[in-house]
Amino acid sequence: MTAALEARGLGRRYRSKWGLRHCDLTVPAGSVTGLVGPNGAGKTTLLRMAAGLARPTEGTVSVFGEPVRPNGTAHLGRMGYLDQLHPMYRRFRVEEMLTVGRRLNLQWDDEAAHRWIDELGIPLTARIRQLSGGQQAQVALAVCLAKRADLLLLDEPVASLDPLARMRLLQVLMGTVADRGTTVLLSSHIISELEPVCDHLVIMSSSTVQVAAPIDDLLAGHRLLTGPAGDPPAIDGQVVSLVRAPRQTSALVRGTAPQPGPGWEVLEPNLEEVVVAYLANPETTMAGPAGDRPPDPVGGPDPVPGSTPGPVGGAS
Amino acid sequence: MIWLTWRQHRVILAIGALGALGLVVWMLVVEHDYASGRAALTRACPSFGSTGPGGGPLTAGCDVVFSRIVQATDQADIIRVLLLAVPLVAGVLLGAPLVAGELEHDTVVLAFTQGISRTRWLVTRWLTVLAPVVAAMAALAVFLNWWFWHIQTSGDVSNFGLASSVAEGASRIKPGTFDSTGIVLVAYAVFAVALGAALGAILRRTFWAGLVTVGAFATARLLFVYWIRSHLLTPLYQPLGTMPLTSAPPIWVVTSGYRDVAGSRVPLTAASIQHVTTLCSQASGATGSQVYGVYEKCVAAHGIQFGTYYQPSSRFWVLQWSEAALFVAAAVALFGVTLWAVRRWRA
Repeated sequence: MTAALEARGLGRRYRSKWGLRHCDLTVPAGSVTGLVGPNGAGKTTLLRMAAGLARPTEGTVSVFGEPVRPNGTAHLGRMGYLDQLHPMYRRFRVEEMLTVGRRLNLQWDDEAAHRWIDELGIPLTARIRQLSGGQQAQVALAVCLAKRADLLLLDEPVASLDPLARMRLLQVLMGTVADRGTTVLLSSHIISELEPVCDHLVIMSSSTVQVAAPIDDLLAGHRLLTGPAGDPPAIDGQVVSLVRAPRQTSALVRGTAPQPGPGWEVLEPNLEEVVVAYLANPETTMAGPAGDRPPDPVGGPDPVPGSTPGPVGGAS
Repeated sequence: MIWLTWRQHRVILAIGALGALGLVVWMLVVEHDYASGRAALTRACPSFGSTGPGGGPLTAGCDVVFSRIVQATDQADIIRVLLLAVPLVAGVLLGAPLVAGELEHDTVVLAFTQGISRTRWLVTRWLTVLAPVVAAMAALAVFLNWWFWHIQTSGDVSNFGLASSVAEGASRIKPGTFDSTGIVLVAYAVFAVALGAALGAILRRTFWAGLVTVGAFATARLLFVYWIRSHLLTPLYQPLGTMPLTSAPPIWVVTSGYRDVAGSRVPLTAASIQHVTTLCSQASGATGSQVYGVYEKCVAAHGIQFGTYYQPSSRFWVLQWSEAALFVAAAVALFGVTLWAVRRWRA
C-alpha cells in the first residue's frame, strides 16, 4: 500500500518550544485516519506542515511521495485542507465562496458543492458572516470537498457543530470519501465520533506521535483487566495504564492473553478506553512487540483518567 | 483569481471612481467660473488688463467679477492639493490591504491551499488592482492637461495679460504643478499601491502598513521635489542680468550661485569667492553710484559669474518621463519585495 502522507523525523519549533518533534508517521492511501490528542499535542502543527502552510524546522513531509514545498503547486491539486478556524471571506455570499473554490482550483465539482449546501438548508445568498459557526464550518467543508482532492487534511472539522449537525457532516464526508477512495486525516477531541468513521487512529501527546495503528488492531490488541483492590498479579503483557479504585483495580494491557489469574476478569476494551489509557500515560508507546515484557511493579496510585497524570509503569 | 480580487475590491474601486468623477466635475465647474469670470472682467472693466490689477478705474461690477475669479483661484489651489493626495489614497486604501488584509484575517490559509501557487496569487492580485488605478489616473492626467491649460489661459489673475504660452509654461515645470499633471501622476499611483502592498506583506497589519505608506510615500516624493528631480538633467545656467525679468519666467529656478570661467560651480564658502566679493564690495562702495552694476562688472572682471541654475519648461516632458520611469522601477522592485515576503510566509 502506498503512503498518502509520510512524515520522517518531522519537527517544528516555535521560538523555544517544540510544537512537534521526532514525528514519524505513515498514513496509508485510502485510509481514514483519526488524529486525537490533548490541546498543544501538535495535531494542528502536523496538519499545517502537511498542507504546506508551515515550514518544518527538521525532517520532511511528503504527500503521495512528493515532498511538500510551500511554494510548489504539486501538492495543492491533490490535497484539500480545512483549517480549524474555517477562514472565509466574511463579506461574501455562500454562492460567492463556492465561486472562489471553482475559480481557484483546476478540479471542482460545482454540482456536488451546491447539492451539499442545499441539503444542509443553507441559503446560497446568505453572507458568510451571517451564518452560525456550524453553518460556516459546513460551507468551509463543502469548499474543501468539492476540490475532489485525493488527500483531505481536516483540522477539527466538527468542533463547532451540535451533535446532529456533526453526524450529518460526517455522513456527507464519508459518503464522498467512500466513492472515490479518498484518504482522510482528521483531528478531533471527541473519540466517540471518530470511531464510526475512521479505520486508523493516531494518538498524539507531548508534541509527538504516541501511537499510530489501525483501529481494529488497537481493539483486538488490548485487554481490560478488572480485579480485586491491591497489587495486580504478574501480567503477561505490557501494562498501559493501571487504575486503583478503593474496591477494585483495573488495568489496560497490551496483548491478547494476559492471564491474570483467578478473581480477575478479562474484557475487550472499547476505543475510548484504549485512547484514554494511552493519553493518561504519555510516555507509553506501542513500540516493541506486545506481551514480551514483565509487568512493571510500580507502586503508588496510578493516574486515573481525568486526574493528574504522572510517570507510570509500563513505559516502552 | 481575477474575479476574486475584483470581488474583494469592488466597493473601494467604485468609491474611488466616484471620487475621481466628483473631482472632475468640480474641476469643470472651476474652469467654467474662470472662463465666465474672464469674459465678465473684459466687459466690466476693459482697461483692467492693460494696466494690471488696481491700475484701471475699478467700477463696482469690476470688483465683484474680480473677487469671483479670486474665489475660483482658491478652489483651483485646493484641487491641486487634492491631486497630490490622490496617489496616496490609492496606496492606503488599495495597496496596504492587498496582502495584509488577507494575512490578518487568516484567509491566506484558504487561498494558499487551493489550486494556485502563491506567485500566481500575488501577480494576479497586484495587476488586477493596479489596472483600474492606472486607467483612472491616465484618464485623469489627460483631463488635467486640458484643465491646467484652460485655467491658466482663461484668467490666472497674476498672469493676466501675459501671453498664454508664457503663463502656461510658467507653472507646469515648477514643483506643485509638475507634480499634479502629466504622466508622473500615474507613476506615483503605481508606486503608492506597490509600496502599500509591500509594507502590508512585511508588517502583516493593514493599519500599520497604511500609516507607514503615508510616511514613506511623502518622503520619496519630497526627496524628488527637493533633490533628485533637479538633477535628472543637468540644470542650465543663466548669468545674472541676461534673464528676461517677467513676473513669472517659464523656468524652474533650481538654485543660484557663482561659477568660474571654466563653467564649474564655485561654492560660496570658497576663499577665491570671498576674496573677490570683499574686493568688489569695496570697489562698488567706493564709486557710490550704480552700486549693483559696478559690483557685477567687478566680479565678472575677476573671472567669476553670478547666475541662476534652472530647468526650462521645454524640458517638461523629458523630466516627466524620467521621473515616472524611476517611480515605476521602484514599484517593480517593491513588487519583488512583496513576492519574497508572500513566498516566505508561514502559518
